[in-house]
Amino acid sequence: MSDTILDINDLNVYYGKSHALKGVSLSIQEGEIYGVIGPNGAGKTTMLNAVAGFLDYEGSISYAGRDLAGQPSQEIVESGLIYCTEDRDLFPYFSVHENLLMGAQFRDDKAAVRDDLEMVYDLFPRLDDRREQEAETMSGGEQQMLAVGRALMSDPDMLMLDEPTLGLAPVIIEDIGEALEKLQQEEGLTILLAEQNSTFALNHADRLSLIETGEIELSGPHDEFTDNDYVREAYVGVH
Amino acid sequence: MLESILSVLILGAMMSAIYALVAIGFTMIFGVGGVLNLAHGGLIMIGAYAFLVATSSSVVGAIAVPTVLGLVIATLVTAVASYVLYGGLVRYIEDNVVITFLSTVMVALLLTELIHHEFGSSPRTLLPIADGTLHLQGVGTRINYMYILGFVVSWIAIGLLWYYVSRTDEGRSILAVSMSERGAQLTGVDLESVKSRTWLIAGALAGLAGVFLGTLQTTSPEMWLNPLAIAFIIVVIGGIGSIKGSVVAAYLIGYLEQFTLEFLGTGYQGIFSLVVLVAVLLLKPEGLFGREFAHE
Repeated sequence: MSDTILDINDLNVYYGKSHALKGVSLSIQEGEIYGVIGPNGAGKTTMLNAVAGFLDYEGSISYAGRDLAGQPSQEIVESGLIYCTEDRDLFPYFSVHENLLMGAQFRDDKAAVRDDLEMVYDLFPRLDDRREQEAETMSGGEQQMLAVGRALMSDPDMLMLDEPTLGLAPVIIEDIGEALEKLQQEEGLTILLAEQNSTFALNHADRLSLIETGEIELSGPHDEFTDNDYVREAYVGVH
Repeated sequence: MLESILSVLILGAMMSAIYALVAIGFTMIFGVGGVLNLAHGGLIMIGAYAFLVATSSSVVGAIAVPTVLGLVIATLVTAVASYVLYGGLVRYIEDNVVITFLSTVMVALLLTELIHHEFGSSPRTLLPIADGTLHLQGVGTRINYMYILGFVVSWIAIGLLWYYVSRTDEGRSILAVSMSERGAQLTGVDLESVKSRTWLIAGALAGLAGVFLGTLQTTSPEMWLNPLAIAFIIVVIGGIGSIKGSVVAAYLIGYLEQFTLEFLGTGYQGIFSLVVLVAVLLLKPEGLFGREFAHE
């Protein structure tokens, strides 16, 4: 039995009077890919933003046994919990290489940083071909690879990915899915994947939760999800 | 005629380098925090008066330090003043553009009054760090050694800054914040530390520029106005937030000024800068290198 790496307990978030997350609880085990699916506006991004320290919340979030309440974002990053936002938030006028270096800006072990650079370029050969290209000028798929690559440069134990497949071509989605599984198997990375693209999440996640209007409707292992009639009808489109 | 042109080219190159120092600090501060620091000229004035105090025994009755040391002291004092301005005031109000705008004007005016009170309203003369002039036989012109020193020191400072922002993690983080604050947070950048360092650097550059402008132009309680206007024009022309744009636009404006001074007289000094400013605003409102600015 592996250990819990991220524990979200009774998380509530309010935007003014609107109650965006209503008592969400999740616990993610070390080394698993955990999918959170649900429609647009259900609260997936809000949950990730709260974990990353970008939002005020009620309830508790602990990562690797430490309470994240009140921790500045740079400390959360340095503790190995890295967030790839839906907007990607790359540095548009930095080259691919400079963007990757930024991911490692707080790390002192330069030899390990060099190794990680090679690891990222091996994982995404398209980035290797475009080392000097400005991030802004790349395609959506390449930018998504760069966002994941930049996150990997921070030497993460856990990645949070928000809609990594949004707007991407099927072949690129395939590449990204393969990369995530490789990272899980070879680097032991834990991945929290928030996706409207339920098929992608179901293809790659070990366990999942379904979130609707700020509440978790269903949580369970992969097989339980694929067998669930409601999930099949509402989110997978398989009958 | 040829001699005048050569002399303009040489003097323009030197003056422009100093203008670049002024504009780079101004644009970096805008880049990382979206702050329009109207006390930037005030910082330049602090540099000039700090140099005056440090190098002349008559002012405070203390010992006068050598002028080279005076330059170092002026740079450090201005860097600290800039840091205090950020840490003591701007960081609490920077989210409100109008309040920041007004507060930094107030700081500039306060400095003017303070200097009026302490040093009087008449212009003061700064001791030259390098005395005398270089006679260029071939060109038939004389160049004040202070121009040459200003040019060399400015380019060393610009070179060091370039190295810092493009070759070190700490420096690169400053550019990163100016492109995407959220991206910087996601990569573990400490925004407070980046902003503090930016204000320190901008202050140091302003202090250096203050000593040279104070020596080559005037040291008076109103000396902050002209550099601020020039910084403003350069930054808008070069593209707000762009260091490269600031250097290029500083040279454009510096040369324009020297040409008008040489061929049209002092009365026209500022007019062409304004013409270029209006032209850029009409034709390329984001500035010549404006794309580096991505602050939201």
